[in-house]
Parts: sequence; structure tokens; C-alpha cells
Amino acid sequence: MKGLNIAVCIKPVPDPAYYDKISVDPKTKRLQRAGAPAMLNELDRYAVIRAAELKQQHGGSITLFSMAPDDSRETLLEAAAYGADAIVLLSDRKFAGADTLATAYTLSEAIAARGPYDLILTGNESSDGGTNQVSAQLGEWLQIPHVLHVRSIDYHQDHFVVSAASDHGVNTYEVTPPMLCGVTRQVAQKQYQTLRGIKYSTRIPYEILRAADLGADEDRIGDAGSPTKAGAIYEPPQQKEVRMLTGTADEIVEQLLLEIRKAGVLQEH
Amino acid sequence: MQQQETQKYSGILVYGSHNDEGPSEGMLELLGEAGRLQRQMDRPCRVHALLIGDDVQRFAPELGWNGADEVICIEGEAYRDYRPDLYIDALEAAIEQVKPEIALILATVQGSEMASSAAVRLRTGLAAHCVELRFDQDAYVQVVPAFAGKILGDIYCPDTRPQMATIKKGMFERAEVDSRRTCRVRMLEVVNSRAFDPIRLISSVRDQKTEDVDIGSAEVVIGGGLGIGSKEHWEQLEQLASLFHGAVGCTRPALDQGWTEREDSMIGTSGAVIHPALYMSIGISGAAHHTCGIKDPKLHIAINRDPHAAIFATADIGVAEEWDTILPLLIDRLAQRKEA
Ligand SMILES: Cc1cc2nc3c(=O)[nH]c(=O)nc-3n(C[C@H](O)[C@H](O)[C@H](O)COP(=O)(O)OP(=O)(O)OC[C@H]3O[C@@H](n4cnc5c(N)ncnc54)[C@H](O)[C@@H]3O)c2cc1C
Ligand SMILES: Nc1ncnc2c1ncn2[C@@H]1O[C@H](COP(=O)(O)O)[C@@H](O)[C@H]1O
Repeated sequence: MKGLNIAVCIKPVPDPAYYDKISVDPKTKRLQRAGAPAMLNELDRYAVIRAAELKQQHGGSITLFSMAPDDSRETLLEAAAYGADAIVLLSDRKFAGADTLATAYTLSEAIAARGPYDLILTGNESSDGGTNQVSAQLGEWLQIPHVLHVRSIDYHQDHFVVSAASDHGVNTYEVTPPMLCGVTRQVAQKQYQTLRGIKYSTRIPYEILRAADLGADEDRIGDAGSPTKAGAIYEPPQQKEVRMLTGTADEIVEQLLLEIRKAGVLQEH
Repeated sequence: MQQQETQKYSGILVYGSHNDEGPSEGMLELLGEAGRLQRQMDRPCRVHALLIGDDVQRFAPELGWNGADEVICIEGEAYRDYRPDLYIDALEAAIEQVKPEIALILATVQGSEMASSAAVRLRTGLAAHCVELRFDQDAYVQVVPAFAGKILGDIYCPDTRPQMATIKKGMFERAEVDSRRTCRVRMLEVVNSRAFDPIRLISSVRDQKTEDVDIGSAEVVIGGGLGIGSKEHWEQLEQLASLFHGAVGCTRPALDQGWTEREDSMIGTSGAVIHPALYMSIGISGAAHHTCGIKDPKLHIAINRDPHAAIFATADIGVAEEWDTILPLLIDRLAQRKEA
């Protein structure tokens, strides 16, 4: 058996611990990220971990793909440390302003150029945009079957067995390669990388592809390829003023009962 | 982007989920919102509701009472359980048939996947998890959250149709039910162009139906976080909720701890949106990922021992104490009241 060739899509995202500091500049109306460091999108970590396990079982290779700025190297190396064989970074000003349709198109062009792959893994959603759109859209551009909300993936001889959440429970599918899975946290056990592992991954091929290298259709990348256009951004109105209750526990509970009664939710019987 | 002849598209297509009993609450909410958009338009606009499944035509009248002018049914045994490939073909076919200028799709597991895929096939824009839809002069604006709702952004889709959006359950309000309203029913056959089935469904396990109150429509929600500390303690939340006939919700860490088995009770970006009259958050820090799932509660009481916890910024009433000094007393007092 030739083993599994796996592509994993990695998105560097701002650390969610800094979300409280993200704001919109009242004058320029631009986003201020307050120095939030980039990190590996949470679910993408589970995707590479599962990819590494599948490679261990069946042999093969893992290539990471990311459309991100040039300074994403550290995040990609961390992801690669789980056991990737190559990293492909898609970085170009021309990719800027891409919505999910254009992002998925760009990734699909790179994956098609470097492939073929038996399995493409993505996180089910990213923590910053959290659109939960790129995975299925990538599958569509590649014209391969795709399953989202994946809780487990196994490979048996010539097909994958995938179980995934549906609206009513859990469905299990059999799919012949190639296929794409958007994974949830259930697919693997979380584990962190050691510095040694990250050092190792500096030795694997690290390729940066520009728009010209891809030979992609310029009408389909970046802002030009995005049917959705961003307008104003703003912070949601926060008009709440909290009232802190003080006193003994008994006093606090009395006040709580009063407020709860006022809200009209105590069922009279 | 290639320009389309946008004026050939009109009306609003709505797709949501249903179960064996009928359309989901979320689907009816989308119909309510479609009706509001319809009334704001200065051109003729029909609301088309889409049903995909086995024997679903029987739900059409209810969709009519809730605002649909026409119901499109794609029926058959093949649609009994979800299969991404078949369902995506079905949504695509319905859009091709109706040519709506706007499509609203319920952001369930299935709906999000179907919408994303159909948007690629139709080469059009899709805005995720919209929290508001409106017209600005003539332009249709879809408002989306970023960074777990810390930031909102207006999204336009000027050149392609339909302008697609996914929306979470709990975002909008359903219309008054009008049981005199009737609607047209149109059956649609979808020809599956693929020569073979790339995805084979081998089993479909349905969640056990529980007697519990659905968190999305509960009047009272008691939310517990990591601060609760153990599974034994968690029972106090259940006890408190039951005194209100309410539901217990959780944060992701609490779910990860296994203090509750109900994944569907997680509140936030990756979970449910709640809009209760009373929300009590207990031992919850108030991360944006969680608080963006709390929509306009009449009263939000937060109990957290840390007076600087972010949760207090979204609460009406705050108690900066150990939860277990407050909750047992509160439960006692409410229970006494019941007995009295
Ligand atoms: C992509 C992504 C998606 C996510 N989606 C969700 C989501 O949908 N929903 C969700 O909830 N989270 C989600 N999260 C996680 C989220 O970011 C937070 O980590 C989580 O909401 C925090 O949960 P918590 O408040 O229970 O725990 P913590 O942040 O650990 O807070 C516990 C709180 O309890 C208080 N406490 C401790 N002991 C006591 C006591 N004895 N009495 C009173 N108070 C006490 C502490 O002061 C603290 O504030 C997501 C994260 C990511 C990255
Ligand atoms: N710019 C990107 N580069 C690589 N992968 C991406 C990118 N954007 C999204 N993805 C992948 O798509 C998944 C879902 O993202 P989203 O649709 O933004 O929620 C992520 O978990 C990634 O695996």
C-alpha cells in the first residue's frame, strides 16, 4: 500500500485571550488588535494531530497549507512539529481582502498543484472569523466529497470511515478517497509540541507561493474574487451598567429574589 | 467576480431544519425575518420556504401560517437522513429554480455546510451567522460577528445573487401565526447528476429525545461554568433550574469536564444562542465566545467570586461571592416559596 497523502489547512489566528482588547478605533474606524499574538487555530491543531496519527498507522506524508502573511512562520512550524513533511505558505498582497469563497479557491489551486492528496483536513471552524465555511467551499472547489463536524476518521484499505454530527445526532459515512473532512475536537487527543519538535520542523521544506506562482485566475483571488464586500465595522453597543449586590449572604439572596420577582419569571401556582 | 444579471432574481428563499413533528423553531424565526424584509422592499417579493426530507409536504401549511407564500418540497426516501452530497444538490436545485435575490439558511450543522457549498456552485457570496439584516437605502446589508462577537461588520454582496446568509437559531423572532394564511406548494424533482455515490451513509444515530426544556426557547436559563467545580455541585444548577421549569446551560470547559452530557446546552459561538427572560451565570468568566450566545435577556444575574470577571460587564446584577455561599440559600428560599 502506498500510504496516505494528507493535506492539512492551517490558519494562524489572533489569540482569543486578547479578544477583550480588540476594538475599533473611533476615528479611523479600523480594527485595533492591541498586539494580539498569532496562534494556531484551535481546531487546526486537532486536524494535524489526527493527520500525524493516520500517517503513523498507514504511512504516507503530510503537507500543510496556509494562506497567511509572511510572518506566520512560527505558527506553521509549531503545527508542522506534529509530523508534517512540508509546509506551503500562500502569501501575496493580491490575496488580501479574500472572503471565504476566494480563500477556498486560492487554497484549492495550491492543493491541486501540489497534490494529489487522499485526504484533506481542515478545522471545522476558525476562532476569529468562525464562519465554518472554508472547509466545505474548499471541497467544492476541489470537486471532492466533503464531510463537516467530523468526530472520527479512520482508513480501511481503500476507504475512509467518518462519523460526523448531523442536525439530529451522529451519521457515519464511507467515502472513497480523495475526500475532505472539517474536524472537531473529538477527532484526537490534544497534546502540545515540545521545543525540540518545533526545532525539527525547521528542517522540512518551507515553500512560499505568490499569486504568480500559482498561476491562478486573478479574478478569483483576493478582493477581486470576493463576492462579499466588507462595509463599516463597529463594536456592539454595551449599554449595560451592572449593579453589584453587597451584604450578608442572606441579604444578597433577598435582593436576588426581589429582582427575580420583578423579572416576572416566578411561576405562581 | 463575474457580474450577473442581478435583476433576474427576486424574492427570498428560506431553508431551515425540521424534525419528525414539524419545522424547527429556527426555521420559523427565519420566516419571521423574511417577512420583515419583505415588507421593507419596494418591489414585489415572495417568501419561498424550502423543505428537504422524506414525507415533508405535510409541514407546508405550518410554514404558510408562519409567513411562507410558497413551499418548495424536495422529497423522497433518499432524503430521510442527511447526506451532504444529496442535500447540497437539493439546495442548489431549489435556488436555481426560484432565483431568489436573498437566501436565508439556518446555521445548523447541515445548513451551514449546504449553504457554503451552494455558494461555491453559484459563485455567490455568503455571510456567516448574521445577527442583523437590513436595507440601507437600496443596498441589502448583512451584519456578521467577528472575534466571537466583539466586533460586528456590515457585509454587502453587490454583484452576485442570491445574497446568502446563515443565521443561528435564536437570532430573530417568528411572526404571529396566522392559520388563515395559505400557501402554494411546489414539488421539485432533483436529478442527481453524479454517476455514482461518492458518500455512502452507513448509519445514522438519532439523539435520544429528552424531556428537558430546550435551552434556546427556555424562559429561564441557569448557566454554569468551570467555577462550579464538580459534577456533584452541578446538580445544584439542575435543582435551581427545575424550580423555574428552566434549563441548565454550560460553558465549554464545563462540558469538557463532563459535568453535563448535553452538548446542545453549551452557550456561545460554537453552541446555542439563548434569549431568556432570566439568565443566571454562575462561575463563568465571561469570555466573548460564551457571552455572544446570550441575546437580550431581560435580567442577567452573574455570580463570580472574582469582582473583576468580564462577565459583570454583560450582567445587570452582579454578586462577587463564592457561588456556594449563595446558591444553596437561594434554592432553599425558592423551594420554600413553592411549598407555601
Ligand atoms: C474557537 C473557540 C470556540 C469557543 N466556543 C465556546 C462556546 O461556544 N461556548 C463557551 O462557553 N466557550 C467557548 N469557548 C471557550 C471560551 O473561550 C472560554 O474558554 C470559556 O467560555 C470559559 O469558560 P468558563 O467561564 O466556564 O471557565 P473559566 O474561564 O475558567 O472561568 C471560571 C470562572 O469561575 C469563577 N469561579 C471559580 N470558582 C468560583 C467559585 N467558587 N465561586 C464563584 N466563581 C468561581 C472564576 O473567577 C472564573 O471567572 C471557545 C473557545 C474557542 C477557542
Ligand atoms: N487562510 C487560511 N489558510 C489555511 N486554511 C484556512 C484559512 N482560512 C480557513 N482555513 C481552514 O478552514 C477552516 C475553517 O475556517 P472558517 O471557515 O474560517 O471557520 C480552518 O479551521 C482552516 O483549516
